[in-house]
Amino acid sequence: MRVLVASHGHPAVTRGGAEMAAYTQFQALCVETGVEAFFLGCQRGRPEPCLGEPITQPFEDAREYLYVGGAFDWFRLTNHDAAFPRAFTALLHTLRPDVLHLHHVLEFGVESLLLARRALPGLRIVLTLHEYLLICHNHGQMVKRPSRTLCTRARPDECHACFPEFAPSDFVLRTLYLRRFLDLADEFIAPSRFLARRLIEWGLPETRILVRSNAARPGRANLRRSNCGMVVVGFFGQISALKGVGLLLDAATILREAGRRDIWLEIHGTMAGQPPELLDDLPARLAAPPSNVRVVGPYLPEYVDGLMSGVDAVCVPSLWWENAPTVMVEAHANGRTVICADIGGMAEHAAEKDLLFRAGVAADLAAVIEKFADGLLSEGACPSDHACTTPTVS
Amino acid sequence: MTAQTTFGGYVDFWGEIGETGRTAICGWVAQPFKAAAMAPGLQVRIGLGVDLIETRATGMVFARADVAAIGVGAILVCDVPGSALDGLTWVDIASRARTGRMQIAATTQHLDRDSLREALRPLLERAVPVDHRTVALAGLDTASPRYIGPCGDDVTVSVDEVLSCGQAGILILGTITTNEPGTIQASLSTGPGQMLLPPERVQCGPWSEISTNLLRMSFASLVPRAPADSVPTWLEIRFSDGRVGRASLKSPRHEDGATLRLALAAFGNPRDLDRVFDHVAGPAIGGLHAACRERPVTVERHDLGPQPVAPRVSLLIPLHGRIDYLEVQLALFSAQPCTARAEIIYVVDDPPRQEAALALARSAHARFDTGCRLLLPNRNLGFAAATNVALREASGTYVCFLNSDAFPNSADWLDRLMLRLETDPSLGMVGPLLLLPDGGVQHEGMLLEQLTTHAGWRFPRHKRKGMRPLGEGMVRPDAITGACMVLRRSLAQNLGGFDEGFVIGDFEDADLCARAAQAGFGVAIDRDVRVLHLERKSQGAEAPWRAGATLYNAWLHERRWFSTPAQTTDTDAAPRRRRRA
Repeated sequence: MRVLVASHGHPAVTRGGAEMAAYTQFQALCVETGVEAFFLGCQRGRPEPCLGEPITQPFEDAREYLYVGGAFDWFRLTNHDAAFPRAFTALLHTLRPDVLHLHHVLEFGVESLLLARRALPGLRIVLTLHEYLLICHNHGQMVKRPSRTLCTRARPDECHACFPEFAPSDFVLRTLYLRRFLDLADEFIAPSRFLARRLIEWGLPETRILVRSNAARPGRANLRRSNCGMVVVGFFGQISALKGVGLLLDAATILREAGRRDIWLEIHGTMAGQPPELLDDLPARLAAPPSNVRVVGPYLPEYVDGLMSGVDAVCVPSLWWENAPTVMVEAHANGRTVICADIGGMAEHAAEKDLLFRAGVAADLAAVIEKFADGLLSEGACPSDHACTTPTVS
Repeated sequence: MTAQTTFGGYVDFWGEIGETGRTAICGWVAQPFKAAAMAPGLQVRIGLGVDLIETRATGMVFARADVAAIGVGAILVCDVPGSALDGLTWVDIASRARTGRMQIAATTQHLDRDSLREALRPLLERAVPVDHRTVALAGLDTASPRYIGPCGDDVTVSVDEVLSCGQAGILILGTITTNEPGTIQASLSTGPGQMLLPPERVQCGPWSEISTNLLRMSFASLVPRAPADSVPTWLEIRFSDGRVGRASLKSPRHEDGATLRLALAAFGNPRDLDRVFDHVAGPAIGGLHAACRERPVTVERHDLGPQPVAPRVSLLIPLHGRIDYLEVQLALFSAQPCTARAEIIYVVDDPPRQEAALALARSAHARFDTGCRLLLPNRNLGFAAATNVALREASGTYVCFLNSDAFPNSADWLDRLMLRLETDPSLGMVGPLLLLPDGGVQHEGMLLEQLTTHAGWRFPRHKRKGMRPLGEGMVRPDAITGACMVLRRSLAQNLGGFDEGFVIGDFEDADLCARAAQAGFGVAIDRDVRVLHLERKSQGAEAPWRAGATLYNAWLHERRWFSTPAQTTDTDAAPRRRRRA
């Protein structure tokens, strides 16, 4: 069986969750018997595409292709690059896959489904959806602008309230346009039941949606950190306001003012690549964080296991309907308790020992962290021969 | 208000103006006089040695190189004969809060009539304001006091627009400001001649109070023959109690889209619809619109992809403003077998956006494999003319007039509508049930309803608009909308397409349905076929010209099909045909 996996990014270029998941899938397919796999990634426009050809093979591995885009309409999720239809069709004719597995329709454009169906009428088209971009123009997060309150359903008048520059009828047409092409997909994969429900409400046919969680992966489960009378809660991921980093800092302040000198918070990750409107005052706050917060910095995904072994719990305080956070998979693989908001895919993927707090409420997050810390500390102090070197909170 | 003596100047010469009984005083004053001169009436006190007299004057200014740094040339036309100014020593000019004094100097000359005429004429020719100058210049050459009139009357006539309206003449739009209301007699004066304007040709708005003791009224006047451009012409408004105001006429604006919108905007909300439209607005707009249409048009043609040969149906779609609707339509059409085989003709009736439309059509063709033909007229034609351009190009047995904001999304909508026409030869045109985005009815046919607020004229009312769709099958309303209308091309051609005499905005479709009815054909809506139609957004108040356009079209439609004006002597009215029920 021949499979073409396509993603709007490429790990060589960007390291977001979706392209990582797509590439991981490609790698897994490569080692499967009876499967020949190919990968088509994207890079947002360089000044000139290479040699005027939009799709090339710039990597050593001839199975990997790269599309250099740059004419993408983010509102209608459509690709105006005049060279793409011919190049994409030609690629499909060359590779003749049996399955096209798309992660996102970004960069390629939603009409790439029509191009694929036309090029190979018998092709099986699968689309994995990583967030609510089909439903919501606000970075696909279903959070209102500018208030950032949670949104449960797309309605033209309300979408217009979030984006006054578009008329309500523009949102009607957007949906009409997207559904015309999505109708051509054979299967949609949603990484959480929550996302699947949202899509069904929006209008995707229920019979064509499959819920498949991101695969659990092996890690160093059950590795208990010695806590030295200190409890450390870590945040891992892209630093942005919607990921709840601001909320975490607020909770830290509450804990410090409550006199908890035995609770540390660590922030791992980077702000790079975040649009400014999603950062708020985080740069300033992280430059001078509360005394119980340590801003560690960026990390490579390969090192996440080691970093997680240094914390007692992983916090996922997102303000939006996180769908299938990779960080939770990693935390579970490492036997770490997850403290997460009680909405969306976070609540859905919470394991039994994980703790939920009320989304968006810093006081509740602080209370849950305290409760977790007290529970852990009551289980016992360090082994007597352990040299406590962890600094206390000043 | 305290009057401050804030500026001064000198008199260079003065003298009587012809036989008018008026005196001109000419010199220069310091800069602040300029504003005072523009006011309708100046109070002047003239010092005559020990005595002084007070009178009114008309002021004008002109540029003088020798005093340019500190002042301007000044001309005062005073409402007293020259003999009354013996012993002239100074002239005080008062206007609002300012007074200034022009002094007599040793070099000041008292000129006789001929010398004054010679000295004053070149200065008048470059003096402003233009209104005052025109009148004064004419006075230099004639003995009649009529041309000067009492100075500083409390009647200000302002001509805002002078619009050329083709064969109908010239439309003059302006306002009259005065302190007491009354009926007016308007006339046009051109040098020696004066032409009284018939009262129905001068339509006036209501008087409104703009401040204490000051009233304003707007007027619109249609002058049947264009005055010769070479002779200075002015409009005179005379009240029955003798008050007079005058204003000169600027050169008329030529007939084009902008001029048409100015004319339409003037008639957005007139009081007496019948009178105003029958005598002024109707003929003026009709003449203006006809002249605009006479301008030549070239239409470029661009084919995207191979065009169907002998297609069964042609879609005729005018585009304006939201060019991107083409992308959504073509995307939807690509999923409809019948539509994908149709001849699809877009008229991009929006020259600044034609490049973008072409690029988008090319992109859509590459992505969806849906071809179309783009027609690019070199100027904006309006809905009726743009659609007719497409009709002339069409080769389908059937044609479908389609708005760019109508989005059919079912596989067989077009087949089903054509089938209705096939099975019933007495049916002239058929349309689908149009839906709003929330699923409610946008259009299910039109009734023509007389509005008491609008002189009993008939306006379309869309039945059951906003309500949930009810009922199945066909309904037969008075008329159906051109937003989605299918008919045999032969009938469309025999009817001559939409009547281009309507200006942008409604009634073209009602008129087409009426002409079809006259030829014995019915119209229908098939409620089993549904198409999304985004209504034109009207956020807040409509632009004034749109209101005027709707009223003009309503008038045209009303006179053509239903009622004639009270006085039928007007040969400018549209031909009247009775509608057969």
